[in-house]
Order: sequence, then structure tokens, then C-alpha cells
Amino acid sequence: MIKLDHISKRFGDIAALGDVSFEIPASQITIVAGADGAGKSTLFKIMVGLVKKDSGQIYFKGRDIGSDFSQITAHTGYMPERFSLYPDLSVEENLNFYADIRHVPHKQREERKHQLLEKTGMLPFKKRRAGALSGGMKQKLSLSSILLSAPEFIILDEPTTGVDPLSRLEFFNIIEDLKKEGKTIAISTPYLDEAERGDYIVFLKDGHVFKRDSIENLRQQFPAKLFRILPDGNIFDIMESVKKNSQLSESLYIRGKYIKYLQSGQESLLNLIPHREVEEEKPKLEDMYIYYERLAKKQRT
Amino acid sequence: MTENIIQVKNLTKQFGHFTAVNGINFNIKKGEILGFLGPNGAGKTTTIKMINGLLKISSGQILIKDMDSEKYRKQLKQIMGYMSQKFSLYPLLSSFENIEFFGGISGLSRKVIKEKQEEIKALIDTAILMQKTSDIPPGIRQKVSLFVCLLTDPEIIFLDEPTSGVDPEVRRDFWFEIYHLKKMGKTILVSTHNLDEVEYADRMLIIHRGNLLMEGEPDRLLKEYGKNSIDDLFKEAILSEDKQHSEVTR
Amino acid sequence: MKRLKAVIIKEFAHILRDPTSLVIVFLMPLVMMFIFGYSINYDLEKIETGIIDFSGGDYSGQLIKAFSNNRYFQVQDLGARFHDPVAEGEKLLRKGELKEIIIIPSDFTQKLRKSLNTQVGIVIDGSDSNVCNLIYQYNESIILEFITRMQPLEKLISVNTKILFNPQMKSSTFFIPGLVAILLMMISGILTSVSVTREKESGSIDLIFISPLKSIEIIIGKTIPYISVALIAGIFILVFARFWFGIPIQGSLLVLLIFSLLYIISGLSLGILISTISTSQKTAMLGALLSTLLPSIMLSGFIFPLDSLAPVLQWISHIVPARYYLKIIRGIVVKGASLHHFLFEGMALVIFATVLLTLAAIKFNNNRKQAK
Repeated sequence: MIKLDHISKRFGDIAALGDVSFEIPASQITIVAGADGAGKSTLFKIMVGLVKKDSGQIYFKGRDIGSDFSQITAHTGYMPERFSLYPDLSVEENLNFYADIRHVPHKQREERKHQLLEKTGMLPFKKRRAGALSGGMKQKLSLSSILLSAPEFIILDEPTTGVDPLSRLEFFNIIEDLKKEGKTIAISTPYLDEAERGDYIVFLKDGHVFKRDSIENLRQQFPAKLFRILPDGNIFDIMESVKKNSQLSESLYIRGKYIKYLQSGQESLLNLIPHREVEEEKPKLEDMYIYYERLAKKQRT
Repeated sequence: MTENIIQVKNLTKQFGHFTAVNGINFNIKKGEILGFLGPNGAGKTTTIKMINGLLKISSGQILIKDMDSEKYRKQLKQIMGYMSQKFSLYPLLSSFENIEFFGGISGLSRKVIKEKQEEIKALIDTAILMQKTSDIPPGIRQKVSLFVCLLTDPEIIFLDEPTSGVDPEVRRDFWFEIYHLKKMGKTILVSTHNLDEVEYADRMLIIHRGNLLMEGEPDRLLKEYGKNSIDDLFKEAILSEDKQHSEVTR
Repeated sequence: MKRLKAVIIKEFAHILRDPTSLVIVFLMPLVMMFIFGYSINYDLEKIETGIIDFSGGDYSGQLIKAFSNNRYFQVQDLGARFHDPVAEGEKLLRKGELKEIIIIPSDFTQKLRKSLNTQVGIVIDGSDSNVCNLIYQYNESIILEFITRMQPLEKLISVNTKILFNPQMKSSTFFIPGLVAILLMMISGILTSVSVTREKESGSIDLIFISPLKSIEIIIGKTIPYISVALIAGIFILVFARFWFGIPIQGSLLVLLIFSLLYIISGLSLGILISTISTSQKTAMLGALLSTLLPSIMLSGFIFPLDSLAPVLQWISHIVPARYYLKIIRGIVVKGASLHHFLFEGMALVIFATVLLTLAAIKFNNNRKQAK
């Protein structure tokens, strides 16, 4: 659907994005995963023309769009990171406004509005001021406002940040429904657990992509084994004590009360860690993130 | 034998008609890490601010070292450190200047402040310490913020969502720091909405809509409710509270 | 058209649902009426005075000298300039080129020679009541001095002063039109800049920017509601003035409306310009206060007569739209002046509105295109 080619962006002294390239496949869910400050929002804003890129090309459906972003925005719904609808307008007024400025015919507007409100369970809150909605409902309203014009491509910038865990699950259910309707979806998120529900993933850190692939491929080709270790003793003390062995400490991290060990070679260093239980685990995206991130760091130095 | 350094009794906070904290009771034991869980807007920050004297109590009582928190506010302030959600550094000042300012208002002598400034150089690159804090990465800002919170060597430390908005890697590192503080004998209250982190706490609280839903050691609670993960435990607590709430409003 | 309508409806909803800004719009003029009504003092440098001497002779000559020697008065002889000095003098008064006219009756010298009672007639422009008051007092002191020198004739001269345009010398008559000028600038400048910046702050402007809306549609849609609010507030003050202070509008309402619109457009454009460079509502508010409200109050002739300003400030006052609008609205409301009396000021407003609006549209569009 969209292809980013060597995109770079600086804000003053700070390099927000350095030579970012990837492709967002059509009719799939693409996740851009990274922590705060990784450059996710900047990247999405560049795609819709809200931030000017310093260099690089953007192709939409195979065509270089140059500086004419209306080629993208005409087919795209963009939901910014912050809730950006009008808090003093009602749910319905907000929806009407965004439909009208996007030329949605009246009849279609009314039909879709009803459908969306029903689907998201917001019908009873039609007349409520948007500012008085809960975090989860605000997200649903923002999403509905961009779906009114039935875009083929949907960009969601951290739609689940600051939203409670249950609403997050619900939100992703809606996203999966959209995918079934054939939409192309790009989502940025700092939460790797929900990223598991995507099809394609781009790991971003400090403005650089350090790994990108289909999630299916990643799972199949992940080169390391993962062990979950219940330490024998205080987890922090044990982590301190193995620090001296750099090869080992590089492949360890803590997750809850467990130490996780990513074994990339043949040789197992498990015995160096005082443990009560060890269990091999299927690696998740979070583990892969850490693995590739550390790998990239190592390659850089 | 552990003593309760803080006792919270029937604590309530109302903002107009809105009840932010609804008659909660709990204790904090000396030298423990108490994890404080709850969705956004559950009342975590309000509770913390009432304990450390930044907000007035609507009703109920807080005893800190057996002293009434409102009556002995001045003395108690000396022994409590607070790091707020937004890290509360002055964005236009450098880290050094922030240390100078916060040290100054906490009554540290010029000499001590100088020493502290030297001390932080060992932890963070000097060039970064000279930048405006608005320009430095969140992970480092968090470190500086913790350093500032510890300037007066407080006995009790409140960390309000110290790990929100930072890299998972940095989050993990930060817990090493928290554990280090515990080893020094500090009492620490940490609020968070990163559920996995609560496992590092000695005990945990779950709060939602101003009500205290669960209290206890993470492992014990998991067993008691027959759950495998804090995630499930949390979901159960929140769901049952939501259900009750909607029944009441109906 | 539909898109434009959507923006307008939305903007009206914002205004109606934000009671604080509405209160400001309607409460502020009331407060200002009281503040400005009671606390303003002037100091005049030059009082343009026209003298019509029907009498001639030594006594009238001495009286004229008494005025022309005084540094506060700039005296010109109307009798020498015009065929019909009384009518022409009044025209000059209406245009604001003269502040007062002193009329010495034909039998002045004669009667004094014969030790008979006589009079001096004085006509003062009362549209600025404070200035008028001052002139009245200056006149009195000069004539008193003149009379004292003339002993024993002192009891024979009486002064008959007529105040034109504002016979009761009510200061409200003077400052209420001025208040309209300030208020329109405030509503149009501050409210628009804050409203645009609020959208920047909340990020909703981003959603508008990537919509098919044209920049000009956004600007028009955003400003029409504020034009209406500004006009309603202006009418509110004038109606209030009519029925509370008893100040009728002497001139044409239509002319007033046209120039008010031009003036409002200048203010709105300034507001949009400010919003393109400010990132928060606070800076927008401050910027708007500094660049619209402050000059409109200080450098327009509203509080300080332009003559009494330092030369630099006088020069700056030429780029303050309120300066021109103030003259127009005072002229229309108080003196009943019509279009040809302020062609220059009218042109100035046309230029301001066009240039500022064009600038605002260009800057806004650039902002949209060249995002950070």
C-alpha cells in the first residue's frame, strides 16, 4: 500500500528518524513498535504530510507521491496519538463535522454513523460531550470519526496508550474486524503484547529500524532459544552477580519474577545461574525485540 | 518483626461531588516495596499526594511513624521523598541547575549541593547534565528525577508511575535502582500500571474507582484467587469492581 | 460549500459552549465603560483655533493676540481665508481640523469704546469631552487675563460658549464609540488567535489539515462566526449607549457597518497571523494582547490624544488600524459625519484589511504545507 524509502528527519540537533525504509503491505495489520521517543509519531506524521521529511521518497500504491500528500490523505484515515476531537462538541457533532469536511454524502453519513455507534457500543452516548467520555470511549470515537469516510488505509498512532487493558483488547478486536473488511492498517504501539495480533512488524528505536519482517517469518526463523528461569534467591542479586560474565549478561533480562535467557549459540550457560526451575518458552515479540535490539547494538559497536 | 511505618485509616478524598478515594485502609511496612496498581484515574496519585501532604485529606487519617500526617506535616516532610509522574524537573533548566534549585529549597548547604552535583557526574555523562532537561531522553530524565528525589536522603520514598513512558529496557534498569534503595533500608511505595513490575514488590495494592480491591503479597494473592499471572488477577479485580459499579448506578 | 458550512457550524458551537469567552465579550465593555468614564486625564499641546473677527480694531486685536501668544493655541484667521467663515469654520470643526472657533461680533470694539456691554462667542468641538473641557478652561483663563488687563472695562465682556456635537459634554459620548473600536479589535484578534491555537494545541488542526478542506475555507469558516460575534457585541454597546447613556448615532448606520466589517477583518487577520507563530493558547493570548488590544487602546487616540504622544509613538500609531476606525466611528456616531469626511481613513482601513488578510492566508497556508 505504502512504501517508505530512506526517510530521514531532524529536529534541530536531534535526529528523529535516520534512513527509515519499509513497506506497509495491503490488507494487513502493520505494527510499528518502539518506546517513547523512538520516532513512531514523527514517522506517521510524515506519511500524511503533517511533518515535512528532510529526505527520502514515499510511494503510495506504487507511485512516488512527491510532495502531493493529498494522494495519500484522500484515501487515508489518520488517528493522532492524542485525542484530537473537540471536547466541547457531542459525540454526534464530532462525527458529523469530520464526515462533512471529508465530503461524505448526508445519507451515507447517517447510515455509517449509526452502524459505527452501534458497533462500538456508543449509541447511548450519542449526545454526550466528547470531553466527558472515558479514555477507551474517546479512542473508539476517534476511530469512528475516521471510519466515516471509509478510507482504505488507516493509520493509528498509539491508539492504546493510556487506555485500560480491557479497552485495549476490545480496541484490537475492532481492528481485526477492519482487516477482515480488507482495510490496510498501520498501528504504532509501545506494547509488544498487543503487537502479537499484527501481521507485519517494524521495530523502531532512536529513529532507526533495527528489524522488520512479517510476524510469521519472525516466529519461524527466530535464531535463539528462550528459557524462563525461576531464580534461586533474589532476582536482582542474582542478576548483579552474573554481570561479570558479559556473554551471559547480554543474553539475560528480567521479566516479572523470572529471568529470561536467550540462548543463541549451542553452548548453554544455564548452569551459571542459580535456579529453582527452568522451562523453555516460545519466544514472543517482546523477547524478539530485546534480542534484535541487543544484536543491533552489538553490531554498531 | 516488621513495624507499620505508615497507617492509612478510612482515607477519603472528594473533589466536589466526585469521590476520588473512597475510605481506604492499608499499612506500609518499614523497609518494604509496596506496589500500587490501578488503571488511569483510579486514585493512585491522589492517595500518594494525601500521604505526603500535597493534598488535604477530606476525611480519615494517616499516621506516619505514629504521627498524624496533617498535624506534623512539616517534620514529616523531611523524611519523605516524592517523584511525580511527570518527573517534575524544570524543563528549561539543566540537570545541574535542577539539583541546585531543589537542593536549595530543601535546605541543603551550598557545599552539599556541590557534592551532589559531583556525585551525579559518576552516573550520567556531564554533557547531558548540562543540557536543558526538556531535551534529554526520558530514561535519563527519570534517573535525574530520582536523584533529585533522593537529595535529602528520605526514609520513605513515593514513586508515582516512575516507569511510564520509558523504554522497557530502561524500566528494568530502574527496578534495579528501586531494589538498591530497599537494600539501603528505605521504605518505597511505587505506583505503576505496568503489571509485570508488581512482582518485584513485597506487597501490592489494587485500587480502582477509589476503592481498595486487593492487598497482599503478589504470590499469595495469585494463589488465593487461583490465577497464573498478575494480568489475570488485575483483570478479575477490575471487572468485578466495574460490575458492581454499574449495578449501583443502575 | 458543505465543508465550509461544517466549519462554521462547529465554530459557532465552540463559541456558544464556552461561557467564559461570551462573558468576556459582553462584560468587558461594561467594565471598561466605568473605568474609562471616570479616570482619564489629558494634557493638550496645540489647540487648533479658528478666529472670526467681525469687529476689527484695537480691542479685538488685543484679544486675538492674547490667544495667539499663548503656546497652547494655534490660531488661524478664518475671516481672511473664507468667504463664509462661520459655515466653513464649522465644516473644519466637523472634519476635526479645528478644535474651537472664537467669534468676535462686529460691534465688539465699538461697544467697548463706548463702555457698553458686549460678548465673545466660542464654539468648541465637544466630541472628545475631556479635550473640550480642557479647552473650555484654557479659554476662560486667557479671557480672564485679557479682561483683567482691560480694567475698568472688565464687567462689560461676557463669553458665550457653544459646544458643538456633544452639547452636554458627556464623556460617555466620547468614549463609547471608542469602546466599540477596542472591543471589535479584542474579539476579532484575541478570540480568533486563541481559537486557532487551541486547535493546534489539541491536535485537531492536524485532522483538518489533512482533510480536503482548502486553507481559505478553514480561514473563512473560522472567522465568520467571530465576525458575527464582534458585530453583535458592537451593536450591543451602541444600543446600550443609545438607551442607557442617551447617545444617538448621528450618521449613517450602513457606512458604519461597512467600515466596521473592514476593521474586524483586519483584526481577524492579525489574530490568524499570531496563531501561526504561537504554539500555545497562552502565547497567542499574550501576542494578541500586545499586538491588537494594547495599541488599539494606547496608540489610537482612545486614551491619549495622538498629538500628545511622543514622535516615535505617533509614527507607530499610523499602522494601528484602530486609529483610523476610531476617527470614523466617532465622526459617524457623534458628529454625524458622512463618507467624504474620512476618505483617507476609509482607504487606510481598506488597505489594512486587504494586506493583513492576504498575509494571514499566505502564512496559514505555509504553515499547513511546511509543517515543522
